[in-house]
Amino acid sequence: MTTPLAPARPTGRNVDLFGTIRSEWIKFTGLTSNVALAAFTLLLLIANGAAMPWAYVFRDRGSPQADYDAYPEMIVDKTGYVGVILAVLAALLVTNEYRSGQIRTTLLAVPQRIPALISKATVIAAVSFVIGVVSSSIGFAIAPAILAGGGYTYSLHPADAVRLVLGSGLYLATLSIIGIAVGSLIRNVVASVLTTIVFLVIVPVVPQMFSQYGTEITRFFPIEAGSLLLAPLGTDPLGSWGGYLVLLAWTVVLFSAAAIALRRRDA
Amino acid sequence: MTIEVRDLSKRYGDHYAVRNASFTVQPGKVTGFLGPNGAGKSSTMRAIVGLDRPTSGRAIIDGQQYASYRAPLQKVGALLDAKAAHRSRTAWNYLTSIAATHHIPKSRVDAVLDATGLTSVSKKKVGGFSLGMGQRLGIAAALLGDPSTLILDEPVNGLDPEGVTWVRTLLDDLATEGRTVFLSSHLLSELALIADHVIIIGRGEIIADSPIDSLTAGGQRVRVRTADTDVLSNRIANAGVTITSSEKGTLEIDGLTAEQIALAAREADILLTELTPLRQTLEDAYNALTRDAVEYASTGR
Repeated sequence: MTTPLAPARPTGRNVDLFGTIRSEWIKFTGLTSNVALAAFTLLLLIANGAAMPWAYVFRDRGSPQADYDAYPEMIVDKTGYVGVILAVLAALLVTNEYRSGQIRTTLLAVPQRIPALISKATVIAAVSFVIGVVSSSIGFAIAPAILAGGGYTYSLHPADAVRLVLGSGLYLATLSIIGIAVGSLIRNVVASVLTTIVFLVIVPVVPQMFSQYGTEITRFFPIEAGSLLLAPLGTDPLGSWGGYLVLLAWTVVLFSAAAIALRRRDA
Repeated sequence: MTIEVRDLSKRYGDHYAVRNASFTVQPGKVTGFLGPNGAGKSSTMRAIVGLDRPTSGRAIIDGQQYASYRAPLQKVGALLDAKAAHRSRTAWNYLTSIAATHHIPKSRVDAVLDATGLTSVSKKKVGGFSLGMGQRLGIAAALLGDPSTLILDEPVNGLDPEGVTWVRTLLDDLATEGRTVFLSSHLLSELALIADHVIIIGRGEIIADSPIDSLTAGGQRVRVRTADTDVLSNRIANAGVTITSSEKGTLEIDGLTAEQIALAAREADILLTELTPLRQTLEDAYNALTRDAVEYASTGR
């Protein structure tokens, strides 16, 4: 079993982001569950993109008329809720390492710690971006055909098309990073998955239970604000990009907290 | 390559896992880190490689903290727990993900797999590995960067005799090459065979730090069996001579050679029925030193 151990020439170089990102990519693709969950989300979003115009057409059968005109955003405006899956996947990327003990290996290789966290976020954000762009593109490609079956149509300006397609990617990417932050802060698989779901989906509507003005608070939560990027113009005073910036602010704050906690805590 | 620990303390809540530990680990030899369960071995090692932040004091390698090295795996290879990888990962995936951080080429991954005998199982999932295979995987990971220092927490745990011999030979080779080898173990018998230097820790405090030979040389104790223990005791009693008696008719004398005792007995016309020089084993030294320091002792039988 013994062979000469010393390599012919020095092996390896200094740790840098290229290396850590490649490392996280290897780890991401090395687990079938990661790839499966990402693929599942892609399919779900494609299905959502097809289901919305389909439902619009068939709604008409039961009721006198469709109560609103078809609009392009209907293909993508529910993206956020499906995107919670990607945030959960992101949380798992972090918490699974704590559960298995792999985190110690990671932090031994990258003792600066923050580059490892950034690399995890980069990988899941890139995957989410691709999922968003691909699913929305397919959705917009097939929606007009489905709507035409009922005699409906919508108008989609090129500028809006870019906003909705790239925006789907951007939205999902930013949302997923929240999962990285939650996973890193809580470090427990079940607790972080639950926290991610509850925080993104349930907490925002709690203010509405207490007051009719609760909606004023709800619109500033991550999914609600970020969804403005994919909503018809004029939905909210914040505007498309204003809403996205609110989501981005949430992500930056949570990720910064996670980074600080990671540096300071014992592994 | 020199590991230096200065006044290291680590507290968890009220409890000090390590208290004011100071020692130096030198290159070119195998240094063993011995201690009962809960003595603070793992806490100390984790502080050295930057996984835990010390409460006070410091642990540095060649004058720098572990975290400040730009390519730490080229400096230190650590095995802190076996199979610290997700169950569904393959060994290959695990090692290449580590290698990628330091731009270590795949050929090196192949080499360490080969050196640890894991080439045939490299594409199998880590969850299916036995404890011994997991240990070898951990050693493979530690060797990836060809480090000048190795820090290993219980590396022979779970290995079969062939594996134990292999590790012992490997560590010996690495130390001979001039690297620093620092391993912790409960297996006194193994450490006695492989370690050149021993640091003993108990209840968070360093209680011994010396070459293994001086620990096992001990005092030169001699066991004597005779009918006239009192007469002999009076004869040889002196400053620097300790006499203990564990059972009737038996004396353990510390501070005189066997010849000196035999001469004294002949001069007093005493018949000795046993005269045995006792060399202290590492086990004896260890037990004597840690007797008061056992953290989690079992009580009763």
